[in-house]
Amino acid sequence: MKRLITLLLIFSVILSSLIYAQEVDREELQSVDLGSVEFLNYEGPHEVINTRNQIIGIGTTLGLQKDEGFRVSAYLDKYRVIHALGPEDEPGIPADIFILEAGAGVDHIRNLRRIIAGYLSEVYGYDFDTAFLIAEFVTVYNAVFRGDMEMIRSKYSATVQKNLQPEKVGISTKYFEWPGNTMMLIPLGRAGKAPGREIVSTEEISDKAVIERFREEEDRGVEERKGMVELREQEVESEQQRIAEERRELEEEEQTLREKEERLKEDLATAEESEKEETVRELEETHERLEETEARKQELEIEEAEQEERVESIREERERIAEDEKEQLTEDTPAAFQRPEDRTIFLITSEKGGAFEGFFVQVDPITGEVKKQAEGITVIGRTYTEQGSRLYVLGKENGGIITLLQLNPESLEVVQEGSEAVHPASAMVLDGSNIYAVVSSSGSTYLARFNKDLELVDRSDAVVMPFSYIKKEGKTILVQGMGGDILVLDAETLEQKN
Amino acid sequence: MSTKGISTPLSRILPSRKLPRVLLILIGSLLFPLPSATAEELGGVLWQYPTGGRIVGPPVITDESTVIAVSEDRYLYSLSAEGTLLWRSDLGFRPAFGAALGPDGSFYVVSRIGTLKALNPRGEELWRADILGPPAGPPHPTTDGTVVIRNLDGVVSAWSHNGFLRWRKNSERPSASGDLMVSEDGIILLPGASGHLSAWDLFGREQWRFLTAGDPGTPFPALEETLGGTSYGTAFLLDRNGKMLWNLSWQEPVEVLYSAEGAKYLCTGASTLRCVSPEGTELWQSSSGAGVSAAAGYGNGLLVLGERGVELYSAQGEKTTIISHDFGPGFWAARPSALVVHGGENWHITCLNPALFLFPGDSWNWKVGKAGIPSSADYSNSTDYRYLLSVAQGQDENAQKKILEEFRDLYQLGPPKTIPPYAEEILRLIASGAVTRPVYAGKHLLNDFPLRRIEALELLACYGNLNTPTHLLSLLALEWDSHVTAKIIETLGRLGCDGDGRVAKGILKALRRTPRFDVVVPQASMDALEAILRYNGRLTSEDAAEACLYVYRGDYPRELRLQASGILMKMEELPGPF
Repeated sequence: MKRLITLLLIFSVILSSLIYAQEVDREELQSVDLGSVEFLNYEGPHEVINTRNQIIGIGTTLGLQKDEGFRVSAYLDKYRVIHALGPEDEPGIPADIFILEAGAGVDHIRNLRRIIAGYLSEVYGYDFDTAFLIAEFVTVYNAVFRGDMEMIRSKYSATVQKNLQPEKVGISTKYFEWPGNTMMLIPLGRAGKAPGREIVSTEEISDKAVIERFREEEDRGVEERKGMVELREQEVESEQQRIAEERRELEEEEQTLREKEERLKEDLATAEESEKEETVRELEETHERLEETEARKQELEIEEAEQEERVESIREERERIAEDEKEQLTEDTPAAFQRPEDRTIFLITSEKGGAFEGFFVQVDPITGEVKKQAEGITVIGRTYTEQGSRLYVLGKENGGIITLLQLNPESLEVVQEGSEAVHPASAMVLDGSNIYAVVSSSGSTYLARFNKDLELVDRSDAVVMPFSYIKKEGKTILVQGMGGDILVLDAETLEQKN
Repeated sequence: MSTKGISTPLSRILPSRKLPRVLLILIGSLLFPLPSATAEELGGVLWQYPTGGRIVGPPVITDESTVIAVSEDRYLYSLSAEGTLLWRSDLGFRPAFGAALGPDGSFYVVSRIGTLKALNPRGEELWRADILGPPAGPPHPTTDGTVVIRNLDGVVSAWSHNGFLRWRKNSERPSASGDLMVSEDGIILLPGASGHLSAWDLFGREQWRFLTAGDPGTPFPALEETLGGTSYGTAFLLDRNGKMLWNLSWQEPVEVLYSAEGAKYLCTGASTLRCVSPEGTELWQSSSGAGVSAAAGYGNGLLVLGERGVELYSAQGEKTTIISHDFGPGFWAARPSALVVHGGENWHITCLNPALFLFPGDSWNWKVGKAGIPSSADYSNSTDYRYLLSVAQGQDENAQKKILEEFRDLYQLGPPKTIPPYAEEILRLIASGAVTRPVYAGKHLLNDFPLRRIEALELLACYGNLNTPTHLLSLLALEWDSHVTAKIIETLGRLGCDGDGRVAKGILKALRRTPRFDVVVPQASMDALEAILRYNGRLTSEDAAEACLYVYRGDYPRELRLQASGILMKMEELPGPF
């Protein structure tokens, strides 16, 4: 009996701890304050790790289908984009509707933004950095207006609305609610009011409510807001230039037409009866054309006024950004540009299953006191290279793929991230503006050459040992092949020479 | 910025004899720890000021250590040496380049589409003009107040300090890597797309042309010589007549940094610093870790300011890293007032701690280009000049009238033709006429033509420069005709500049010797003081207030007295010495 009670007690303790853990998890999840649109992302181990380029490639693939004229693009059964563009004169904002189907595996907001950026780059011609910035705003916009059908009905076109499912509109801030439950709107505008020249409506995605969400972040979202302001300013300038050019052309045309009108009037006065009809007809055509020109000039004035309003809105946002930065400067201590001898970089290393991992710190070289620690960056191995004012290392950021990283030694933040997955056992060699490392692809490992921006420039055809020593010798590179032999590769093309 | 430690107020808590002082000291040390805020511990930044946009072009540091910077948020900012905002001016456009500072304290900014705007020292608009297309570089004020600027089509325009177009000429299209520069003696250097470096005088006349080995960059003009470089990898030194003294070649584009008497400093590629002797021998080279965005002479060496920090190079090439920091892309400015300022793409204006630049045994000894006097234009042998001179100094009123009509037509008939360089001198001579060179026949004055003097003075407002008021003040002291006196005063007002208060002093003297029943001179005086107040942003002389009081208290028409009191009230509103 005693044994039974003991077993029951033990069992109940175990059971209660399990239930408690589940409740803690749920409570923990539910207690996360996401009022500032802070996305909850998955940070654990992954079964499938995609490279940055592969993730972007999903978006690019969706975009390529749109380029080929498909109204609906799809990537397997995971991602879908509906290009909801109705007739040109349809009232309301047109949009792309970006859908995460039930099978979508993306679980980090950064990767989702990469997919969207890949799509925007392909379809609308933005460079990747600009596309990524727009993607940041698109996701926050859709989080802010999640499920807000009232807003959507008031702004978006009927074509957009009929493709939406109200319960899925926008995006949740929790990653596990994304698959099968997400329909993000990417509002579109028309560059130059011309059909077929759609661009993302930066005015819409930088709505005041969206900006306020950015402002709730610790850094007030200053860098993102600056980027958006610059983009909006460029768009306005482009429009103003177009308007100015069209106005000049209209004025020239008007001048020509008036001269023609004068000439025709004179001709009419002196023309014979048989020619008068023709002259009158030409005069009427000229009058019509003059009226059209005048009407277009008035339209241009309205467009100009619209651009002026946009400029005012941009100026207001610039003022807000400056004010926010001033507040931050008074809150924080002034930036300390230390003399070089005041701090030095050190790598704190630990062993995990026979492999070494570490993180960067800045220390006082006299006392060894740690002054600053890098956040979220795991260095693979025990070495790094310092070149110019940058650190180069093999590592991963926030649990992502292992790749080349370029860090600012002062802020200990990642400045550039490699475009390809690098084998964790790889060496890294810097030579001038080239960086050599071993990359994995389709189960094999190859020597790759990267540029200073950590973009893959070339890759060997020969398969190499992942842990091979890499030696630059003049115009060649020596590495170890899979058979243990030493391969001699061209340092530029990585073609095998022996 | 003080480098002294901050001491505790021990003396305020030690007076009591009841408590042992040791105990008090112990308590005090707990309550009032002894921080010492040295410059090093505070870090390298004196202050940072965020604006609403990227900083466009190098900031300007004035003689009063005010920092002027132009931002893409369409504002021109004026900050004190302590980093507080003094004022900002809404430009109304996105600027293309940084502001330029005129010798009289005016600022000049140009928009991306080619609107040139002049501002007074308080940021109030003085005038604006169209340079006929997007600018190729910032405006360049010269020592006599002329502002020179070139657009992308190669059209060079020169404006007087008070907004009159002096001349406009076509040059060849600008080179891809260089902007025009104006030397201390008033030579305009124009790098061209054809590879030529041309030199013009301040009247738009070509002096010489030098064919470089490639796309010339912005030259560094110094007295007697010009240092230049090209994107094709050559550097050269020319004498004042454009004759080459030497040239050197490298495999990388060459950018000129600084030219001193003992050494010339160049940057090849992105960050290789080279020092060359005046004879053209390379003395040393060094790779800069800071990157090279700008440079300034420092003692006998060079201060290099870059995206990644600040370095100091001695004359022998020894490098000291002063700051290693990622400033990022941006522009630098440095002044002997110990201010080093960065205006960046991060939208901030950053002033570095001057304590960083103080080295034991060193004095703060920047070499800054001094404002010189332009060399007199060589036109003494010109037939036209000699004729005009004889007429201006002669007694033929009709001939003078014809000259004045011609000078007036030069302005009124569309874009002005090239104005003769001696126009200002001839007009001054006609304006002074019998006052300074009376010709008598018995008691009869033969060359007294007040109407011609008035006409000449009218035109001097357009043709005059920053040196013209000096001559007009001499004339003002001698002129006897009240209408001509009024015109002199009016012209002084239209010329605007009175940074040292001499014009206000001259106006006061003229008022005091004018009969009280005369209204013309007081009216012109008040109009002129208003114009000067608007131009300078303030009136710097007590004499200006005295002149206003003289009119206000005098028996003059009510409107005139109200005008005088209005000026007085305005002077009281503005900070600074009147």
